[in-house]
Order: sequence, then C-alpha cells, then structure tokens
Amino acid sequence: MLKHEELIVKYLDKSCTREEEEELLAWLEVSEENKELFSSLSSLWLMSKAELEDDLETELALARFRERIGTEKSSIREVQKVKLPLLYKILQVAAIFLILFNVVYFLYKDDKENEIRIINRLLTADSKGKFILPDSTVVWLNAHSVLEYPEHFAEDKREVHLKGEAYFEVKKDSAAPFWVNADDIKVRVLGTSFLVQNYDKNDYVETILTEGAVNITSSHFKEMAIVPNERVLYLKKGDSLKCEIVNTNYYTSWINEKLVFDNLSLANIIINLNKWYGVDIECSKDIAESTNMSFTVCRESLDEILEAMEEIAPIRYKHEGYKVYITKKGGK
Amino acid sequence: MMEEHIEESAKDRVEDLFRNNYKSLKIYALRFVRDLDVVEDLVQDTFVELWNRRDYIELDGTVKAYLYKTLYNKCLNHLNSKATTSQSSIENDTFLSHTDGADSQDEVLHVKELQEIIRVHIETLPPQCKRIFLLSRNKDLKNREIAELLGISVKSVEKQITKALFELRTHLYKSGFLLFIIILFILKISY
Repeated sequence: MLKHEELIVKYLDKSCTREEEEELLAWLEVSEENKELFSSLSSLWLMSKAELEDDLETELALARFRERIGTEKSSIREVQKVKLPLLYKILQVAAIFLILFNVVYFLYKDDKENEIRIINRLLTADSKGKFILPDSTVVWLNAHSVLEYPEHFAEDKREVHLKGEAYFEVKKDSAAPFWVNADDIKVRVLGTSFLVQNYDKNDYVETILTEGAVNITSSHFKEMAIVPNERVLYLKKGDSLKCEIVNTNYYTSWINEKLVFDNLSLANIIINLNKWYGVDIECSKDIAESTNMSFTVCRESLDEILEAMEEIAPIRYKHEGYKVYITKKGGK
Repeated sequence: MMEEHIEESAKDRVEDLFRNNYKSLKIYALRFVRDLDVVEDLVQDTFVELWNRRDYIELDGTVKAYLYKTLYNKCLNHLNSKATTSQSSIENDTFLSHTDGADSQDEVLHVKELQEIIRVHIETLPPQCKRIFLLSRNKDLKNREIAELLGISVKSVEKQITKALFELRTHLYKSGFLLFIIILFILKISY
C-alpha cells in the first residue's frame, strides 16, 4: 500500500519511469479508493505549493497584473517600474533612502553568440535596496554596491557582476546555473540563499551560505563547495581561503528593516553593525565577549547608535571614516 | 484631477484585493484545474476582468464573492475547452456537477480554513520531514535535488514527502475536509 503512495509522490515529482507510470495506472484502475487517494494527494501537492510559496510570488504576479492593465510600461523600463513598488515599500517602512538608482545601458558583444545585449546596472549610495532580477532572483544590495546583469539571461547561464555586498535568493533553475562574479572569485549556484561581499576597501571577498549549496572558484584554486552556515573568506593577498561556521543571521540582518538585539554579546552586535553601516568596528575580545546589550536599530545614524551604546555599557568609541574603535570607559 | 484621484484609489483597492486573495484564489481554483500555471493565468484573468468592470462593481465586502464566482466560471470554461483537445498520460477530467460554485461565501471560508490547516500541519512535522517538505513545496526543488542537497537517498526524500502529504490528508479527513480536495475524475489513458 505504502509503495503506491510513494509512487504517487514520484509521479507528482515527474520522476517516474515509464514502467512505474504504467504500474501506477494499473493500480488506479483497481478501485475508486485508489483514485480518490491519488486525487487527494495530487491536490495537496499543488495546494501546499500554492500556500507555502513566498509572498514574493504574489508581488511578481501583481507586477504582471499591473503590466496587463496598462498602468506599467513594459520591456526596458520594466527594471525600474516593476521593482520600484517593492522599493517604495521598503522606503516607507524603513525610511531607507535610496540615493541613486540608475539603469545604465551600454552595449557589449557576447563572445559566444555575437549578439548585442543590454546590461542593467543597479547602484546604491548611502543606503540599500531590494531588487528582482529578470529570472525572479531576489537581491538585497547593501550600501555602496554595484550589481551588473544582462537585460535577459542566457538560457544555460545566469551571470551577474558584483562590487560591494549583496544577499541573493536565487530562483531555482537547474538548467541555468547562477554565477556571481566578484573579481577574484566566482560563485556558482543552482538555487539557494547566500551573501557575497566584495568591497574594494576590504582585502578579502566574503561568501556566506544560509541555505542550499554553492560552489566558489577562482583562477587560483579548484572549485570548492560551501555548506550552509559557512563563511568563506578569500584573501586577496596570497590567494588563500579561510572558512568558519557562523550564525548567518548576524551577517544577513542588514536586509531587514530593523536590527533587534536581545541581550546579545557585543561581539555579535558588532558583526551586525558592520554589515548594517558598512563599517569595520574594532573592539578587544574581552570587552566584546563580556558585554551584553539589548537595543533596536531602525534609521539612526551610526554615531547616534554608538552614543546610545556608551550610555548602556561602560564603553567609549572613536569613529574615523570606515573604522570605529571601541574601548573600555576610563581605559586607554 | 478628481477623476485621476478616483482612478488611483480604485487601483490601490484592486491591488490590495490582489495581495490579500491571490493565494486563496489559486488554492480554490486548484480544486478544479490541476495545473498551477493555468491556475495562475486564470486568477490573473479574473483580476483583469474585475479591473475592466471597476466602474460597475462596488469594491466593497461583496467583491470577494464576485472574484470567486468569476474564477469558478473561468475554471469551467477552461475545462470545457480542454475537453475537446486530446490528452496524454494520467489525466484528471473533472465533473463539476457536484458543486455549482454558487455559495462563494462558504468557499471563501473553506479555503481559509484549508490554508490554516496546511500551515499548522507543517509545524507539527518532525524537523527533517518539515525541512524536506519545505524544500520541495516552498523552494520548488525536485526530489533528486533535495537528496543531493542533504546528502541522503532519493528514496528517503520520497518517503518523507509521502509521509508529510499522507498525514496532511489524514488530518483533513478528520476535519471533514477530504471532499473539498477530492475532485471527481475519470482516468484517461492514452499513449
């Protein structure tokens, strides 16, 4: 009995062999009960997909609807038009201000097909934004970042170029792997959620995997698989890799509308703030690990937050450009 | 100026309706049409129709019943037009005589309840089973891909998904929902 239920699941997954399909058909013919079972399981298979899919699917469908009723212009302007409503949402809720949002078109020749393509370029200045690429991949772009991608992805490969930091939720497409080019390294994905950071100011390229599986590769080392919760640093000097297992929530919190710390150690708060403000906070280990704090960050400036932290804990800070130094109050 | 303003508020209202009812309408249509792509198109058509009639329809509480009824008719039309074209493999052909789709108020409630049951059920699954089921239904991964991702056999992925689906079915049976998800169908076999 159970065997046939598994066969149904296999059929729904479209992975039945011809023989298995025939076996299933024969079994269905046996009784009304069997047919009922098949009918209900295939209903639930589809209904649970419809119910469990992300809200993003609704937003994409709504974008299609807008286009159909003619309140949106299609084709080239799609990038701006379809994505902006989502952006507005972020703007309203988080009061994040996107300084620059450019769509730059330039032409380049594809080596393979010799065809002319249009490249879209997403740029952020002092703030961050959420975008949807042509293949429905969702990208959160952190401040001071640039993402380049073609107007239409190739059928067998989706390739983007990143400067800065981005968190990707890649739309699954086994036939067309998703590639992120971050200068020295390339990240290859089938469908998954991960973060890549490639700022010129840093001497490393960072990849963090939250879900699924990605491979990274460069001209200097062989392709390497990253496991979920792993943080991999490619050190530009020396072409070497450094891996560690981390709590990815701290590294990806910047994509949210606010940061909430509930009795979290200063060490972990610093990871969050580094990403949120795009800075590098330095603090000695003993202070960072022995100090716990609770507070929320919405739209405050870094200095406002640091000042507030001075009020809560016995610390002092010094802010110089990208660098922030936290020391013990009264100490040197 | 005034007209523009009214137009804008109608658009906002319809977009709200879209956001709040898209999933439910899809699940409702899946009762009759077993194809997600087709169902998505039918829901889109339903909203386009609503938009074209926005001047004649009150966009108030009764509009939901209008959406369900319109969608139901679109499902019917789709099945009728499909009946004339030949099909292959296992095929569900639906007889809709057992429901006339008129009591939309009830349908709205049933769909809402069904959605709730699915969500609650997922939370009660054992961790590995839940994980696999979500990778399948939320991330839309194939069984083989899930197996590769988690480093387990395809067979055990199939087992876990069967378990999740079957238990969900049992759960619905106990709540008297089984009829809602079963549609009468004749089996067509053609190679």
